[in-house]
Amino acid sequence: MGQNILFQYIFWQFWESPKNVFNAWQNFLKFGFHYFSLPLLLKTLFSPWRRYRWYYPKGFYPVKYLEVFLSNLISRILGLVLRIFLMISGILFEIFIFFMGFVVFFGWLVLPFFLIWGFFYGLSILF
Amino acid sequence: MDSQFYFNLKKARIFQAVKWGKNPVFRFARFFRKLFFILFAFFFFIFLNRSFPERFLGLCLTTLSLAIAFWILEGFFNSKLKKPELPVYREGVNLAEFLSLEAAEDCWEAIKFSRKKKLPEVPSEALLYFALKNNKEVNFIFTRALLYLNGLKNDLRTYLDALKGEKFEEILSPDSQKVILAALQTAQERGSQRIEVGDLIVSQSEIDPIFKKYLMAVNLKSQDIKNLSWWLANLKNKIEERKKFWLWKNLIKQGSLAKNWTAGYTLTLDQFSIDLSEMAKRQGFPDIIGHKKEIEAIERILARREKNNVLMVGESGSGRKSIIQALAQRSYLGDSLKEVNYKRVVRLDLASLINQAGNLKAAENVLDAIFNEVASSGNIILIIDEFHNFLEISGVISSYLALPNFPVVAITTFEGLHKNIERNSSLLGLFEQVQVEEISEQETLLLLENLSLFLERKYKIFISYSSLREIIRLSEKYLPDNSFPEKAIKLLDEIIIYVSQKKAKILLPEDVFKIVSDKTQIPVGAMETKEREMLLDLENLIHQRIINQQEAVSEVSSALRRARAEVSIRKGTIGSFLFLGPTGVGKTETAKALAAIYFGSEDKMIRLDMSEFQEVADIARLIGSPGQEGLLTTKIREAPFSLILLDEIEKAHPNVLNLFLQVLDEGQLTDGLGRKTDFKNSIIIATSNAGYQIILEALKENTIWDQVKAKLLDFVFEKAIFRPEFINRFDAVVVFGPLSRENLMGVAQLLLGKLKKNLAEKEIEFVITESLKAKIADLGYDPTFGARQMQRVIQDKIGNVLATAILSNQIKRGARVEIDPETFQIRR
Repeated sequence: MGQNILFQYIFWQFWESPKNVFNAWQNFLKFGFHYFSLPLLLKTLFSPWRRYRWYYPKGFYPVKYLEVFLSNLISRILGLVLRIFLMISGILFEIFIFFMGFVVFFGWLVLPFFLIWGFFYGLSILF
Repeated sequence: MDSQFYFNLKKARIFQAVKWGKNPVFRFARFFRKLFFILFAFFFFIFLNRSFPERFLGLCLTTLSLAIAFWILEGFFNSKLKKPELPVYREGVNLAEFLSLEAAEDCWEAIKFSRKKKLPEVPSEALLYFALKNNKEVNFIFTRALLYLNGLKNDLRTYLDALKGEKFEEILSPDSQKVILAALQTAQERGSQRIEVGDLIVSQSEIDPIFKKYLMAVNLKSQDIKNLSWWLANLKNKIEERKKFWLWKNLIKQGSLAKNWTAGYTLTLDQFSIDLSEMAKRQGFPDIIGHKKEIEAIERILARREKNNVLMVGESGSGRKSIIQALAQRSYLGDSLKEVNYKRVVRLDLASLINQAGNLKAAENVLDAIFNEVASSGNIILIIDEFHNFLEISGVISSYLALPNFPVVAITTFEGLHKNIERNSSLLGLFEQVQVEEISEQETLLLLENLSLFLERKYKIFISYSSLREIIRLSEKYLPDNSFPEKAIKLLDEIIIYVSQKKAKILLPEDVFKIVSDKTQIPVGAMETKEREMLLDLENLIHQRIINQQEAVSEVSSALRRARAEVSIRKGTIGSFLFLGPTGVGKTETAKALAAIYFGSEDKMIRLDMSEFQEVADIARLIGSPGQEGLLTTKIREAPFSLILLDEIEKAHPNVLNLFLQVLDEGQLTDGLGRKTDFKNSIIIATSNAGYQIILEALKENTIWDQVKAKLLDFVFEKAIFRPEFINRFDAVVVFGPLSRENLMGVAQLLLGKLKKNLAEKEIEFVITESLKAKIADLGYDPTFGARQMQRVIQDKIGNVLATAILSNQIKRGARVEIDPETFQIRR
């Protein structure tokens, strides 16, 4: 036969469920990294935008050489700007998830006490 | 029963949930939660709009607190009390620990019932009765199986009411113990440790006689109940999992925003392709069923640094495209290998590209641009369907295929591979081959189950489980030319349209029989009265065309009856016979008669003169080769319900005979293009006149007929005409004896009878006299050629005379004609 139901409840409320909430929190944080591909963006921060790149001519053509250099530079700068923009969005999302998770995690732990308080405070207003 | 069997529900942890489940706090938690949330919303609305808000604030706080409290209680009950920790399974463990809450509740009800009736043990019928009574989900199993749930419940109730006892003891009856053990095993097979109600029902279907009676009435087996129960469990699991949005497997379905940013644009490719990764996302990532081995092999090849192109070879309809879908899905969700994950799987639409470009030259330029984009984008897996049809592009694609960042999966058939691709060995060398086998019947059933839910919504027609099972069984048996799963899917599609046309609401097995019969021209399903009569009377029907040869006719008839009643234990053909005997004694005629009676027409006979296959090189003509259709294999693929007549089999090359060993044994043969050809629905008759001298001598010496066969076989082996393993593989070796004078008279009667019938259509009565029959028998018989000449004699001596007489108006309508047997002139 099982244990006392009250102990089981306490164990569930303050240990098992917080563990699940913590796992879900982790999943959301991991998902943020995946969705915004933050490590990949960091790794390819200076890569040309959408792999647009030009090849240097063979032989001595200074003007052409400069043209290719500038084109590649623009492609890389464009990539950098857009990636930084997306990385900032990703980091903001992660911060949001971190705080939301924090609120849910600790909110869950204090929820029973809040309910008791809410119920009795409500009754005290009524009567 | 096992002495180690231990079952004590009251001591199991799940019993706490059974007990607390009856407590109103938990029992009505869901109701209270909803009620208090509604009240909270109501009071909150008033609180926002009233000038005296304090009291309503109090109401809001109280109701909200109660609503959340009941929500927590509900969660506590469902995730903690309902699912207590399970012990490790070992001998002597309390098996009640493994029951789910619902199953435990049913067992508890059965125990209470037995206590009330003072029964000495808990009967399995009580377990079944309460499992059926208390759970709505069994409706799913019973409705789909077309089983009458209320009837079974009533029968069980009547049986239980009739039970009487003296003293209650809380022990399970031997049958109940079996039920619990079998249910635990079923749960484990399902990959679960907890016994659900479905598992109890499955084990009851194996054990309970009342339940078995109901199953038999609708032609179902315990395995079918198991399939249905697993289908239900799978659906429940899927719904449960989808609700848990916080799980990684649900979150990852959203994909990634920036993975594509590191890849190049593919503007031209996008114009002429379908993005299968996007499609998988839109379809909500359907289940991947079967082909696990092939999918893994493809992923391994694609992950290589070099030679990372796949040539997927498989029959059309064997699920090659669903393998690609699975690849796209696994790559999208990051379930594949690191090198394959998060790639875009894109199918090139070559047909529309060539169509739009106008000519191949223009198409080549566009293709070059596309391939260039694929190579430089870095995140594309390119799929080319029907690759064998587009080998003109091999010049453009070859230079790209060697690049590591140009992974391609080309799809082709065995025929396409052998006929077209193998000719270009340098192109073939750039691919690694993966052969696709068709999926199993069980996997096809899972696929049909998923599909039928979609079709049911679309057509508003209920699809019974028995119909799905029949679709699989019959498409396996009668549509051997196609592969699973496509043949079953197409058949289901066709049948549901037929059912919607006739405005019925349920798709029944009868509808399946109707469509399969229409498609194959073979009567399937419950045997019709006419067909039963035909089979039971087969000997007489054949004897209407064959004189004498009792043994042959009886052997052949018995084999066919066995096949149609599906009691045959052989894996090979419907029947295979070796007819031995002199020429002109009715061997071929028997085969023709059989084709006409069993398959409906003499045209259903594939006749091969085996004297044309005397060389090893002739094998290719028989089973086909690239660029050449097989005389045997192609015909049998086109018309699997045929009689194959192998005339003069002794003249064929021994290697040709070896080919038939597999056909006779397994009922299948691999043709010259590597395709399996199915002979399971054909009858094979080989004829030979080898050793006919033995028969003639035996007749002269009046040897007993049973000894003739043994002598004949000795002769055949001695002269090495056939090897024993070849002879042994036939269902029967039938010796045709020479025709006696009486038999010849009979044959003459038969042939003259045909002539009489023809003349009767012209309203001319033809009189067949005994003397005429005797004369024809004399003239038509030859010891070497048997009765073969008889038809010619009738044609020459009688047919010609009658034709001249009819044309010259000597015989008119309504006339009565008799032929003089001596002069062969018309008697007036």
